[in-house]
Amino acid sequence: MFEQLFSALPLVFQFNNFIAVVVGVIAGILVGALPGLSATMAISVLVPFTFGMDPLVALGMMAGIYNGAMYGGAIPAVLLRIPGTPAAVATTLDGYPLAQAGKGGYGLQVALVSSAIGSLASALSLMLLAPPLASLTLMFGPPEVFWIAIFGLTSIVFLVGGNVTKGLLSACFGVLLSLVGADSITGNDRFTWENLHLLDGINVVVVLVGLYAMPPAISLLEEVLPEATKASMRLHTESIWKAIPNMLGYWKTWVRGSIYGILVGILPGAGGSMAGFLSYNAARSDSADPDSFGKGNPEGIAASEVANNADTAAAMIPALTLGIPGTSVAAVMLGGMMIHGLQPGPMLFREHPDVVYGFMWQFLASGILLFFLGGSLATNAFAQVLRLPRQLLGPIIMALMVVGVFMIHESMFDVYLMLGFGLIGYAMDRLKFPMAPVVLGLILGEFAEGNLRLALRMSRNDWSILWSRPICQIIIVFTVFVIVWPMIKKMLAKRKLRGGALAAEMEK
Amino acid sequence: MKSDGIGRFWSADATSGVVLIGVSAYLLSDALKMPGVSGMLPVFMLVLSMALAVILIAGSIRRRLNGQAAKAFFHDRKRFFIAAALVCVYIPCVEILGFYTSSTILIPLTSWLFGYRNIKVIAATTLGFVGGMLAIFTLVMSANFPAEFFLR
Repeated sequence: MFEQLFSALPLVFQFNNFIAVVVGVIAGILVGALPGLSATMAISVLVPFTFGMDPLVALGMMAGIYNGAMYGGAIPAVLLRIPGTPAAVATTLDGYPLAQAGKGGYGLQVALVSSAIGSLASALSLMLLAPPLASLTLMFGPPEVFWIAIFGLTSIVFLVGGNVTKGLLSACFGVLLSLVGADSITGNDRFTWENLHLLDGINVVVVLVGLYAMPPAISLLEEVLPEATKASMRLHTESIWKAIPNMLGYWKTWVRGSIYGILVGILPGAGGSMAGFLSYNAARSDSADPDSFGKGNPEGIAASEVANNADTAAAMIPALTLGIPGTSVAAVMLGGMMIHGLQPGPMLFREHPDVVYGFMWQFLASGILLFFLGGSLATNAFAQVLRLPRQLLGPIIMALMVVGVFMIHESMFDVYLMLGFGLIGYAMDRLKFPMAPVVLGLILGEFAEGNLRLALRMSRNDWSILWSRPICQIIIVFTVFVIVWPMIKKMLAKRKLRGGALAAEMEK
Repeated sequence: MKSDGIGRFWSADATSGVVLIGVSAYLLSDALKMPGVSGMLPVFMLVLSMALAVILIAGSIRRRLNGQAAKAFFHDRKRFFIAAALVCVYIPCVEILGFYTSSTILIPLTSWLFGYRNIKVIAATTLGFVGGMLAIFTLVMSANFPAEFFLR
């Protein structure tokens, strides 16, 4: 199992693959530094351009962007109190007060070192946990795979937080999109309206670009944010090598934050922002001086940044082994893998071991590169990105979206389709409909249907095959738990609140 | 959202629920005509969507009646419509005028309309971007973008 992992190591050092990771990390930091742009958006825009590339070049770039953007988000979070990515929200709590005290440069160095450590921990967890999990999933037949797809969809709807009804509606939308085209088993047309462009179904990349890239592109033009001034960009940094000894006291926070990040990453539906907050709260509770948190304690930045980077590669564990992405970025990366003919799941490890293990090494390499590419000098340079006019970025992103989508089939139909999904995505964004279930529904919808039909064919239409096998029963229990857990949590919180109120009344 | 009349209990969520029911009902009429097992999942998903949309409407009305304020749909309505109109016009223009011509118009026009007036930066960015795309996609990758209107 691990021999294949080590035999894939030299692939990372091949020129094209290595440069792809370097470009990805730099692009990721730049994108993350721009408020309103996210790793999901950047990877969505990138995916269509990777068609002609070698899979490892494409995946290396994606891994670099993902890790780079998680750190990049800290730059405006520290300097402007605007999280560059949703995962950097907790970083603003101590980052901005630190910058106000004239230590913004040190804050960014803490963020950089913590992000690099989180990325390394996450990549190691991917390397250690994914291969055995993939071997385990080889025991799965069509009924188990069907339930895994249902479990993935359920987790992303119920664990992502927010309105469950909206999450379920998003998932239904995604599943319905996956059904467009000729039925792969019977050949019957579904929702094609005799349009030849729709016979092969809707390309996942068209949906991804529309849903994830267009809303931020429009928001760049629609929202007016405070402008970064030259004064706010002065970082007063010393060499990062001199700053590191001052950070060694955060080792406990780094270890704990990495564990939180990895666990949150593996859990489908949760994301970097949740990991950041969990780690931040734990660091504050454990601190000898909890009152200093929120007032510019660098340990607060370390807690948030280590955790939001630790969930990156970890989110790929369920994505690569089961086809269930842990975060929306992982969902987009899954879409990116699929356009290269890589079907996530246990067979991926058998059929393309060089790609899948090479990808794991690329995650590790991007964590190391993050440290070197985001050093003092670069951090100063990246901070200047905040001064780029949003009015110019918006149309450039739109033009890139058009080029990327057009290049898939050299078809303007796809571009119009992307425009439609973009406007739907904008409305979903404003109405707080989660996007991740749409992507997951699109990826898993037809897959689940195909496996359900295969299972029924195996059992000669005996539906009990879906619940009579032991692994199916275990997955069903997990699925039910995922559905019931938020309700139990809500009830417990209510009871606690009532208990607290009662105690306060009795004290009076 | 007005707080009198229908606005007292209506919200953008309720509107989205009504739209979803309408679209699902239309698609359901199509799905019901699908033969055998091909129609099973589409019908199930569409019926589920309609049921969920009803729950969404009921929930949003209940929240409004409980005093929850309706949230604004747009950050800035005027700026949104200009941005959406630009992208809606840009895409057909790519087909009619060609990608490079349309992009050369879109970038400066958008930044100008949204208040960025530094001509040197706008010109340099536009030329740099369009030139870069031309070099990478047309010259190196030989991509077949819709031809420029003056080259047809």
